[in-house]
Amino acid sequence: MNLHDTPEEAAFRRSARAWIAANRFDAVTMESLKGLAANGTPLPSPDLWRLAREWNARKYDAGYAVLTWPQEYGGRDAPNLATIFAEEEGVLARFQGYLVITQFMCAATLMAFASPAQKADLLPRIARADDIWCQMFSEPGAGSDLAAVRTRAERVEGGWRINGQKVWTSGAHMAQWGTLLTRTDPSVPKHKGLTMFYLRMDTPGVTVRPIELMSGEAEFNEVFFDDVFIPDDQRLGAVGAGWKAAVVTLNSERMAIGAMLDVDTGALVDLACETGAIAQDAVRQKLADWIIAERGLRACVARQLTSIAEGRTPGPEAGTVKLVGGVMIEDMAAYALDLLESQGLALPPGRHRHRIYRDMFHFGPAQRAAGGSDEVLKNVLAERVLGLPQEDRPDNRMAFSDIPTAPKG
Amino acid sequence: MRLSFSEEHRSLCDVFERVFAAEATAERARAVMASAEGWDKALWRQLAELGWLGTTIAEEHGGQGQDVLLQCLLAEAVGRHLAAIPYASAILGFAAALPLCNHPGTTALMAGVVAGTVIGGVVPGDAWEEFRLAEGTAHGLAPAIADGQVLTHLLTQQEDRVLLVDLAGAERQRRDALDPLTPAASLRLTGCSAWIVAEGEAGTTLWQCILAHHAVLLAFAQIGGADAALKMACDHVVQRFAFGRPLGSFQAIKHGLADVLAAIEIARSNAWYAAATLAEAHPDLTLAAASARVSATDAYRQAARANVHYHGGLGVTAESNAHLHYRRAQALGMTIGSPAQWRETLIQAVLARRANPALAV
Repeated sequence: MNLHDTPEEAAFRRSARAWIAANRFDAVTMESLKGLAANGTPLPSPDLWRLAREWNARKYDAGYAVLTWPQEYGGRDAPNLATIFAEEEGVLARFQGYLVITQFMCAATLMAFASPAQKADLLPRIARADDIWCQMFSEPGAGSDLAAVRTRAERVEGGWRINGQKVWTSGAHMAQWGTLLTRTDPSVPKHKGLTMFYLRMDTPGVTVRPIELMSGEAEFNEVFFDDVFIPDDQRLGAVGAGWKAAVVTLNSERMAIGAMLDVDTGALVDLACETGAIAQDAVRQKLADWIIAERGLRACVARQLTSIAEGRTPGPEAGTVKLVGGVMIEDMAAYALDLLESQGLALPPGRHRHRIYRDMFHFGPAQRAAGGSDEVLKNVLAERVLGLPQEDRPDNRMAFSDIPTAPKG
Repeated sequence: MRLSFSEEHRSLCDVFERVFAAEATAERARAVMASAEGWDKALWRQLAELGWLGTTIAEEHGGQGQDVLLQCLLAEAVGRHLAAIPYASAILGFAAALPLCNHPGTTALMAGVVAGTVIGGVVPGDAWEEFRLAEGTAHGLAPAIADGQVLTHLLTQQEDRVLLVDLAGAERQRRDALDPLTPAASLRLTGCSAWIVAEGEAGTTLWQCILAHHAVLLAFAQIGGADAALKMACDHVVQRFAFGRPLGSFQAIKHGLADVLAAIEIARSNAWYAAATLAEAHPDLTLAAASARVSATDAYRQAARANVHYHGGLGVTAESNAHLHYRRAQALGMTIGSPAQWRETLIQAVLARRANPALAV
């Protein structure tokens, strides 16, 4: 146990602080970022993407990007330094959220399965966020049941022909590259007939269509594949080993989202003070519970980071953060809107300070579905940690093409 | 920030738990429960002989002089087993408070704690229906004190004073304890020797510090109990078949137990952080202790309830051990203030910090 920096960490913190002060955006831009949260967007989306990439490029050029990456790929293998840097970045740390899929999930998949030449070509551009990547996993018929993907990859001369549709693809509209989970063999059980690829998003036959969410944001997309050709050397892992590759990505996704999760109870305490509701015992008790949960989540992340720093694999706490945090955002948002009473029913035009609660209200349900729904995470905890038996799953025993997809008759 | 326990502490705790688990069996606890004495005196003596009651007491007073982090792990280990000993009161409360008091009266009791002859309690002021201090003697009535039947001393609080009371001569009446593994009693003091350990601002600060230490150590015991109850539930639902398959293969059951696991992980994280603030006397201790206290209470109660529930009808029988966790989980959450009181403590600290940014950590 140690709540303080080691001498090495303290020195890093000092140099990071000085570098951030000298290199952050100009005062006008910084002011416009006030209130930027994982669940709130004060500026239009394209501006935020541009600033996120610009800030990452500055960090990369100074050696402060991808600090958690292994050293062989240009990182420092130092989650503790990444945490310290984020603490010093303040609001700018929220930009990491735009790059999680690129720099953690897709990069982890490439590190595990790409050739040395491919890694040398692709990873530095990912580290600088010169390239944005997306991961094309979910489909209209394959969300929680991810192994049910049916986007088809068929062998052709020199590579593969892809036909099908992906959905909920975060950032596909901004991405130059993507990883793609496909069905190469429908005649074997579902987990065995999958293969992972990567491709450029401007490959002929790829169409990206943003999906507007209830918040009005459009960060998720549908992606359509019409006779898209992918050369065989852009296959990640063996033919039929796509599930293994997907698990590498998903494990990093759950952890990255957990670590990025921002359940900021501060805004709720501010609101309760502003409205005078803080005088009520019921409100104080409720807020206390959320503050306690938030502190628990932060300590949970600190335990994970300590595990990694000490060379151990994080345990069940990894899934816990997303599971508990996602529901909390939904609950807190509804409670905050209630605290506004009738004023919560409508917002004045512009970026009003109460908009953050509306953003949380819209964002919470997405958080609970993304990267494994609550129910999937609970199955994982119950089976892998508590050792409870799997439910009988006949679909695992039959050829993928024989699995029912609709009621009989 | 690093949140982990050292290998040295872990292995010391493993040594302790192997010995403790072999002795502190549920069968033994149930036998004690049915006895007139109501507590496991032999186990207490054994722990004293092995030196495990004086872990954090300085070596000059016969203790091991270990730091509080080892005590946290030991508390968790003790919490995992259903022993009928006053460990929560005497070790996690009273013994942990003694080094904080810095008073000749409390220092003089350290050797007795190590030997197992001094069994103290930490009793909040509101436990007293009446209390009066007159010329070095205490007079008062407390209707329900955990382990009251066996306590020799207690630390208590009256306004801004922290008091040490010698319970020799106190009238005790055994009470029907919420946790049947603790010999609860009412205490009537009629002229018991008493000392003012601290008063004024120093008294208020000391009492807060005593409660914070107690809360963190109790949280570890509660997490140990929660782990045990969850394990008991999992063992049952794997073995028990219904509709032709294990009960534990139904998602309704799995998700319920996964929720318990998540609650325990949040509590454990709060407790580990709080342990670090204890070890470093960090200014975030008040908030950390309150967070550990509330989340560990919730986790143990949730685990114990789930365990009773997933045992079905068996869970509510006297024969099952499920009710022992269920009752202990409820009682441990009430000894030094209910979760509601600790939430209020926390929100006051948060608001004070908000009003005065200098208090931020």
